[in-house]
Amino acid sequence: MNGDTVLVLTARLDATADLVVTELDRRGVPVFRCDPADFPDRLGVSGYFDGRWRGTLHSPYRSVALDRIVSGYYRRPGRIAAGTAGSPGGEWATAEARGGFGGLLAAVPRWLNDPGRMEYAEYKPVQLAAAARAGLATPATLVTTDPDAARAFVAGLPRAVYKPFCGAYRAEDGTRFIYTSPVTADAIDESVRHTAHQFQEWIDKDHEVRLTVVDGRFFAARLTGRSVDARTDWRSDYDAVDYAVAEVPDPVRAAVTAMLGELGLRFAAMDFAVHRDGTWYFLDLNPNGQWGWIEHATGLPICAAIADALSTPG
Amino acid sequence: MDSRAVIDDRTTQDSAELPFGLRFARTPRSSVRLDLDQVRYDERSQRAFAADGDRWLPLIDHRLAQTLQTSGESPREDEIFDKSFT
Repeated sequence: MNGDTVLVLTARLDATADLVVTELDRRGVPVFRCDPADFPDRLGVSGYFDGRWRGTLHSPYRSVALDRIVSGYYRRPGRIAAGTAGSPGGEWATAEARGGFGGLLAAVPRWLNDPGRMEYAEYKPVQLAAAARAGLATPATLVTTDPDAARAFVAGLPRAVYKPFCGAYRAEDGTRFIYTSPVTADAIDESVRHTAHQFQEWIDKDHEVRLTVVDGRFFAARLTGRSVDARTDWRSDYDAVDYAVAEVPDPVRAAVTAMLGELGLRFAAMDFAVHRDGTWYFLDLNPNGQWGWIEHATGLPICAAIADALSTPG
Repeated sequence: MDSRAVIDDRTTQDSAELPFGLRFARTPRSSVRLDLDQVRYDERSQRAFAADGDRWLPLIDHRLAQTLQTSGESPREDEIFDKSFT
């Protein structure tokens, strides 16, 4: 593989990465797709430094010269783990793998998105503060382990919701999901003390917008729920959501541009609640969010924009 | 493709021993039980394929892809290997 190549880090079963690989292939752009979780058994590297990194990244099926990698798409890959848990030296080997192999990957230019930036931007408190600094409207929010503080906060609002920081929970009998849920003060008990909990003002919204941004290009989809669950959290009832292309008001566009610039993100999937008075309230940002189904539902050319961002020299 | 929609609204039982937020945990309204023998990763094209009768379709052209692309944090399956090499 000798041409300028796009590195795609992802799992084998990732339909969204498949979309991007297919589009790059259609354009004749060489792609090296791999999962860092395969290192070192099915994925190897030799990097030589002489002022710039040279060498090869290779799998049993292909290799790529490190200095021909022009950009990287970081799409929910597995974690680097060189040793099996509990094996002699395994913990140390994994740390070395992350430092060496992970370091060479981090040195790839023009990530969409830079993994370190994503890790920082995934923190919800960071997002809310950045959104407010950029001029976006934001809901009143409390993060606490104190039941009394939670009750007082919720009681002081017309309506409130509980929102997790991490939506998935692996129970003994399968994975559960925790969606945005209405909450009242009298329902809050001492179990709030067990961990950080996020309570938030409920925005009396007309609809929601999923805004996908790729290198300054905006793709806005209006999501209107047809069920109580979908109106509360559209993720909880996909079958009851209507989609349409939406326009982004200029002040929101400017604020989002400033926010993503501060966070160092080239890509973001952002959720807004649009109040009945027209105000766009920033709710959430996912620096590695899904977009394939939005393109499918609306025709917005998000995949092409990502392929542009990965294959166009910066 | 032996995948089927599963509808189950069971919620996690309340328990004082569990963090407050987990009382809202529930099984997704709709999900897909994925038969891994019906999905393979092709190292040559660097894409996944799904069985569709006696054909293998690119996963992105298969109805399964839409489920895998939705925004919920669907359970990850990282053990899809290229069966043509085994």
